[in-house]
Amino acid sequence: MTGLLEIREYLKDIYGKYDIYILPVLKLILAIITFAVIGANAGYMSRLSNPALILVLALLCSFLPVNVLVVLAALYSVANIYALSMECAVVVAAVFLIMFLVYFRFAPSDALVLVLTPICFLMHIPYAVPLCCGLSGTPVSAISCACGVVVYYIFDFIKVNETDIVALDSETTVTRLRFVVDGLLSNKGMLVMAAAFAITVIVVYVIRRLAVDHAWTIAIMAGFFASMIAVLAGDMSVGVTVSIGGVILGGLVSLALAFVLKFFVFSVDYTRTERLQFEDDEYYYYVKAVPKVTLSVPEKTVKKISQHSGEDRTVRENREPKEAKDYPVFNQARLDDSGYPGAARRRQAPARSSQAQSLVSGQRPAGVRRESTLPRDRRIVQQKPADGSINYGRSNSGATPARSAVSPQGQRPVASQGQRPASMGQRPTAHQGQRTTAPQGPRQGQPRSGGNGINYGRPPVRNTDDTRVIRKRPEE
Amino acid sequence: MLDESRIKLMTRMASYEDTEGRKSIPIAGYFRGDYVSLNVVKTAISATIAFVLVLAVYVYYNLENFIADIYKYDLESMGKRIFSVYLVYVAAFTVFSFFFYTWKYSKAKKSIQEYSLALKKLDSMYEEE
Repeated sequence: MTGLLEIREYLKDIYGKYDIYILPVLKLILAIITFAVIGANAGYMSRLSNPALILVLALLCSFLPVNVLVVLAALYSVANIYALSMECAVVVAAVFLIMFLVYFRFAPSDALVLVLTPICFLMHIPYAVPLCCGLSGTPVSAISCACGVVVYYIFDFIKVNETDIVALDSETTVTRLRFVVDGLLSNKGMLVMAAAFAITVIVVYVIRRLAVDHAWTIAIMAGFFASMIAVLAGDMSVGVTVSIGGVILGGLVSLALAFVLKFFVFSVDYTRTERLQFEDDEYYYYVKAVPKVTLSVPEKTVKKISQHSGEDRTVRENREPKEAKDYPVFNQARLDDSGYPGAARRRQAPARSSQAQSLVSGQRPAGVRRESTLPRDRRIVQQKPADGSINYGRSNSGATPARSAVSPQGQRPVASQGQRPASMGQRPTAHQGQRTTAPQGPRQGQPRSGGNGINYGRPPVRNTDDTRVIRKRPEE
Repeated sequence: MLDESRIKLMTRMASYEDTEGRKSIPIAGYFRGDYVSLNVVKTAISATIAFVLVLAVYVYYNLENFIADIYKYDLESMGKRIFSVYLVYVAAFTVFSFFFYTWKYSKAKKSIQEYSLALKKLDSMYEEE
């Protein structure tokens, strides 16, 4: 179970980072499957079955909203059916138009069910649609599922009666239209399935919303049994022949898919449920809190022993650590041979330049080029000055005498050498009582916004991918 | 200087604008009356088109009988009956869409309240600077 949770967190992490690429790819795959299925089952126009055209349409759908796929799929199927019979195309177009105008105006997000339902029917797992709609949607999704059933049965009727429809070419238009409309309206299997789907959605939705333990599991099982009973009983009552084994097998696979969805969407630990009661001025609250099951992805810790002064350098991330020279510096300073950016800058930086001023004010100096670019979560926490003392950098350090608390008189006291204002808190220093930040050199005494005005990279983003070089202080 | 709390607030606001705000912000840009009436009119037009489609398919389905018995029909009463059915159908849709879009507008306004508070807080942060 822990392995599955790790995989889930890993997948969520991947999706969170790369969803801008993953979503179009998924839409592309769905579009290709949709157009291929339509072509395989209703591909009466050979020109439209061209793989290049399908690929172009799929690429278009991958970058546009999902509802464009639904509309294009509808147009594609109507165009194919038109090659078979104009009356069939008129009926199919009228059915799609009525669905879009009357229902999908109010629930446009459910339009994808129109595409997924026929695909699931052809894969013999139709019951996955109402189970998943009940878990993730509202009771109104029952209408979407019913519309999806109607679409599937239209295509099924046309496919089964293809020969008869062609044979009616000699008849009048009205006769052909009547044949298609009668075939649809008198299809009792379609009505039974639509009703079964609607019942399943409502049952699953109502039960999963209950405040009982394992509500989702109970909802899925109840939905499964409700759909099985509704389909088998309904088909027997209207006299439709149906394979009981096929229905049950398809239901079991759909059940498994519903549990997979539940695992990704709703995974909680009922053993740690907390029940709380409290009140405020208006209400008395009875709260049941069920914690989610989460697992953090383990971080790899690689410890490297640096050759420079024997310091340990622990790199806590899962990327290759870069050289110190690759860290971005904003004031064009060069690194010295030791690899630390501080010393060379302190030798070269002017006393008080416009660059320093803008650095102090926090703005990026104009015309400053970066040495290199790195992800934003990189930051040098600590630089090593030439005199061997430790500088803790900008944000995390307190070793900035210019950043002292305002005295009660409202004036900023001048921090003496080696002293730190009490408001900054107790911070570890390499050499107690000694000056730890201001190096000897032209920058001495200048106001700072961070350790020697160096490295104004953005603060690190605290996620599992955070990369920080954490250097231990040398032994005193 | 980079203000962490401001950056966090702006990040949350941008995230809202990219997700839920995409629907809520345009809706909240309307007055309630304008939004509801606009959508009720659109729904009435869509319902009319759907009704005409169904009627056309029904008439075409029964075209032979209709043409054969056209002189027997009282076209005036048939027209009144069809029109009354149409009125009832459109009225039902209009009432439903009125309540639906009123609810949708309230939901969008509630969702955008937090965003508005965050905007005010951001504004005050800039003023403090």
